[in-house]
Amino acid sequence: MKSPTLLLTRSITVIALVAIFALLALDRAQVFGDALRPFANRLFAWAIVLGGVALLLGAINVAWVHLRRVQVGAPDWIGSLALLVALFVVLAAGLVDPAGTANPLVEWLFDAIIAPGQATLFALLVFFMAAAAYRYLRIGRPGGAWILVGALLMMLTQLPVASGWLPPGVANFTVWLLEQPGMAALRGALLGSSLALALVGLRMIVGRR
Amino acid sequence: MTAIRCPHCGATNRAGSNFCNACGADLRMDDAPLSPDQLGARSADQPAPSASAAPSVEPTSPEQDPAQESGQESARPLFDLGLASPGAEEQWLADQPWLQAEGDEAPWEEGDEIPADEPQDDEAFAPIPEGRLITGVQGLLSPLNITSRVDQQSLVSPSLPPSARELSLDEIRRIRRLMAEEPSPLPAGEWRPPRRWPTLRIPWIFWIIGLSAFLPIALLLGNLGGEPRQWPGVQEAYATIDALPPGATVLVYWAYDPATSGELDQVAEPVVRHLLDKRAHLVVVSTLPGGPATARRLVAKAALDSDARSRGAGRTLERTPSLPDAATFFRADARMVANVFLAGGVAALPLIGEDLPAALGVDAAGLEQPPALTLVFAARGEDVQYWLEQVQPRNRAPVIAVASAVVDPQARPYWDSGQLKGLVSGFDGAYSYERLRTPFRTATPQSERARLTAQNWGQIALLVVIGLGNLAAILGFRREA
Repeated sequence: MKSPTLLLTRSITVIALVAIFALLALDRAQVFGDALRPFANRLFAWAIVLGGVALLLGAINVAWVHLRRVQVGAPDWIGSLALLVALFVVLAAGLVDPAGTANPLVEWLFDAIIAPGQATLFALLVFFMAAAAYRYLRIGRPGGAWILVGALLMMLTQLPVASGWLPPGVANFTVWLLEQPGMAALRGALLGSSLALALVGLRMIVGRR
Repeated sequence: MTAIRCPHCGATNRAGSNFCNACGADLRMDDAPLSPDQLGARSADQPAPSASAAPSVEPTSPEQDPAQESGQESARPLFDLGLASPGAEEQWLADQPWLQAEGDEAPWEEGDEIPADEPQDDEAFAPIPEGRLITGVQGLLSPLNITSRVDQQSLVSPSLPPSARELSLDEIRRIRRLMAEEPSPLPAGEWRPPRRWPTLRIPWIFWIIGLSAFLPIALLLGNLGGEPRQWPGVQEAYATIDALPPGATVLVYWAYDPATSGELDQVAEPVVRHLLDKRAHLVVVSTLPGGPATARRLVAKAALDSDARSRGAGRTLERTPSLPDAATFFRADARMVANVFLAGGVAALPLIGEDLPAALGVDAAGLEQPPALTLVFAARGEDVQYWLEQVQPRNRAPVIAVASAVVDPQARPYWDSGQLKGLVSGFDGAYSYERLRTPFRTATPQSERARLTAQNWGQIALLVVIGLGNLAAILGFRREA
């Protein structure tokens, strides 16, 4: 059981933080003119520094974990070794060259290794999409008929070869679906998630988690 | 000591067993022992009982059964019946040579009792007496260590009769499968063989996509024709950029890297060409480590293309190493003023809206005027959202989103509300933008023809896959997970 004093102190701290950031939000709307702008910019700079420190801690943690894996000869330790080598090469290249991340070696690593690898993984997405479409865009599933009709309409409208023979009414109907009911649903989702976030914040402020 | 024979497979099991050790059949159907006459007759005439018969109890050690010796048909003893006559037992043992003892020693004559002074746990590791494999009353003893009995002689399999044929591995597996199957709920006369229809499998999808999308491109089979639809937002984006004065500063938030450059380079390239044609001063910022390199490559490529087309007008492509961001390309009056990676991620974005030169760490002389326009090249919808929430309220510059197709649904509400001045998404948007930029061209460039071919065939393949999935669902081909 926590003491009432502790709870009160914590609540005051949380409320003070909320008030500060609310003022910053109002400052973004220029309610107070430029009065709070230096303070806000200072806080944003602190956030950048904190982010950098968190990134550094994360890199050290990753290096330590994989160093241990290599030391004990864990399964797939060769992958850990590759990660450590890549980490060291990129770090050294960025440190020794004044251009930093823009130096040619780092760019070559991105161009020759990271970019093809990531592009390859991204290209696999089409196969997962096809497999998902095969399994789930079916009439028999709950609500599947509606999703199937919507997907077929969108695909037919976007199919270049269909632009010659698809009736204009179908394309216009698809655009209407996007602009009216689809947009209403999207706005509802955006508003709903924002309200839910505000509600969660309010519950935290008043101590009801 | 007695044994019972399984009515299902004929294997021998210890008396009192509930299930067959070989096939798992239930042996509890009838525990009543057979009379010695029945056993003798069965031993002589029916070495293998039929499947419908009850489990038969057969003698293994008649000497230990006083009831047998006295010839009485007494009630069944608790553990050992020994009802069979000595002749029946010999016949039964002759049928099962693997149960016979080595040498002349009778297998069942030596004691089945456990020494009273010997702990029961020790028996599990005690050597087994020669001539027998199992001792004692079943169910009350610890398992014996039988590995000590394995020798070369015991490993020899019993020889098969000359007329017997060895089963193949497939036949053995089939028998095992049949033995393990649940009994069919249908009577034998109503049983129907399962339908033999081809099963739709995931690898088929991969083959269909591969053959229909990539093979036509490789073989240059040509485009099926048609043009992508021009979606709302493209015309407005083009008009906004086209209205820029020469030399206007354009802030570009480069929110994609090589991972997604395969799609987004296609979308961004016509827009960047248009900016270069308008002699804009590009200020590129990115929160991704690979962003600046991606931006430099694309801008250089667009500048080279534009320069090749405009060389007749006296413009020249130059490269300057003066800026620390490296690789700054500019033409006589269209250039990349800055190309900066911003550490800190989203937290760094508000500072861009506050003080652009300070946030970028460049000389304010390179930014003679505040940005007249902002372009967000986004692979994720969140990047458009962050910019509109964190930066645009501060610098008040109009924003155009140039995004991947998957971002379109997330960014379109901002376009409809007027927070975006234009929206160019996906290959459709890029194609439409390029058509707006070069309205008088007569032929589609080869690169765009290849993309149109890929889009046509790829979407047709996806439609075929969806159709096959629904066909399978309708016909009831459901593959068990």
